[in-house]
Amino acid sequence: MPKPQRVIFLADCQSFYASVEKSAHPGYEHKPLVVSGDPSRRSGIILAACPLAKAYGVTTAEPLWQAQQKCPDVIVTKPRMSAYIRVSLQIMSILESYSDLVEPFSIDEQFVDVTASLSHFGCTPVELARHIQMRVREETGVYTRVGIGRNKILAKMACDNFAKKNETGIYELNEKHMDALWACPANKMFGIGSRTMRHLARLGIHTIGDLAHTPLGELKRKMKRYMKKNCDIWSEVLWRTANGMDDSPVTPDAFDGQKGIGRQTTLPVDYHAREDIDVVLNELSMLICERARAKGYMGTVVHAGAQGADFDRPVGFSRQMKLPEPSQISREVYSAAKQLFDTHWDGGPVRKIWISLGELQDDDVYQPSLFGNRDKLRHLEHTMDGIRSMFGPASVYFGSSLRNTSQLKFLNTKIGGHYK
Amino acid sequence: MKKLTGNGLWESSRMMLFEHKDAIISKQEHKQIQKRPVLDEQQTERIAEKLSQAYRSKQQVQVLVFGDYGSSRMRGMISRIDPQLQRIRLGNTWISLSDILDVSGENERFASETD
Repeated sequence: MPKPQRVIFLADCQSFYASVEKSAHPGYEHKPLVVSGDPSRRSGIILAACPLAKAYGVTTAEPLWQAQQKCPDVIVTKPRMSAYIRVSLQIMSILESYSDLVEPFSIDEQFVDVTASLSHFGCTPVELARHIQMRVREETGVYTRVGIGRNKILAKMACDNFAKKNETGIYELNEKHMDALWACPANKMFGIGSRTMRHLARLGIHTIGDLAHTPLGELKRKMKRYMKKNCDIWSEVLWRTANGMDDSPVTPDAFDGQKGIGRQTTLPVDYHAREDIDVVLNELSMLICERARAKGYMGTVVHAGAQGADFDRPVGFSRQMKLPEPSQISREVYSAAKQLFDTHWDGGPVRKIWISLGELQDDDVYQPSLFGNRDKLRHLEHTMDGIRSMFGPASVYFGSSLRNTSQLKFLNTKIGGHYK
Repeated sequence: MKKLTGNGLWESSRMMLFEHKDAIISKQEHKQIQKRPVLDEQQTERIAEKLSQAYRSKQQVQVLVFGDYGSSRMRGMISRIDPQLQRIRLGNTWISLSDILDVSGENERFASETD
């Protein structure tokens, strides 16, 4: 018996942060509103704009002052990241009442496999989508657009290219409508940015259809010749996407278990001096290890990197190294990160720094070291955790964080670089 | 190859804040059905003894009661012990003895948490 064709939804929240703010402040309902990062830092850009603000030409990621020029009466609110996470989980719970197969793709997009739900609810995919749309709006005030397809890639492209643009906010992309997708320019395809589009244009590929109709073997050959290296996997990903082919399952347990614990920060000004960078490395290590200890993990691999200051000429590095023993001790992670910077940092100005701890394992099996004072450090940091959990995150820290290049205060109040 | 197999296409392009991921993980943990712990003879004996002692002396007790989605604490006075159906009456509810994981005095901690 052939497998029944799957029905996958991608539910996307319109102007998510702005919508959450609007439903929290009903007085702003009919006013243009933007959520903006802190203008005193470099994150002072528009994170979300409501449709009314967008009608003035305000776009996401432009500087706040520019948005205010376009729309002088715009209401500006600070981001409240933990509220957005809460609403995102609330929407996830609503979706889970229709199917147990729900997979978040970002804070405002979630996949749902409703194949088995349709017969249970006795309705068509579009009817179910309309119902979900209504319920999410009713319960959270957020307007969702639903792309429907027989796999995730079609659902995603149905949403991005059609559902977001039509009146109902719902679109089903199937064999009958592939021509509509194929007529779109190549950069409208999932996975193609402006750089890839330029490459493809050189190969005479301008639309998604051009890509879909190039035989795979030929595409691989052309890409290899043009890029001067083997691009077989990349070519195949592009070709399959253009043809709407994707077997990946909707994976509700995609977040089972932690894969890595990391943090990054964009600095308020470019850092040039190594000792300034070290202060931040130490703080990031401290925060990561604090989280690792709270969750009962130790990691074996430290990953560290930096991005240069020049946006147009991306320089920087991102490298990893193995630790001699699994660790959750800040000093050890810090010294690994320092080593990575010693080896790979070119001395140029730094705009963004990140560290993560990977290859995690439970910390119930702990190896005391024969050398050094591991037990003492471990004890010290556990004690610091205890003090912080009682008196707040700023109650105890390493002396290096007293330097004015410290980012600790900033990091402690932020989620994803924005206010909690 | 990763991008062409399993959920690779999406794993590699997913944009998630770690706080969001954390919140999802803890939401899933709450949903998980708990396995009933197996108590050894000493433990069951100690529980039985404490229960009958509390019953006789009419002392308030605290019991840790197993539940599919996590155990809960209940406080009260034991008003009846029903050996037939293997249950006790605490306040206004009947609790099956097999669900009782621990017993302690009203304001004491459970023996299982003294580490």
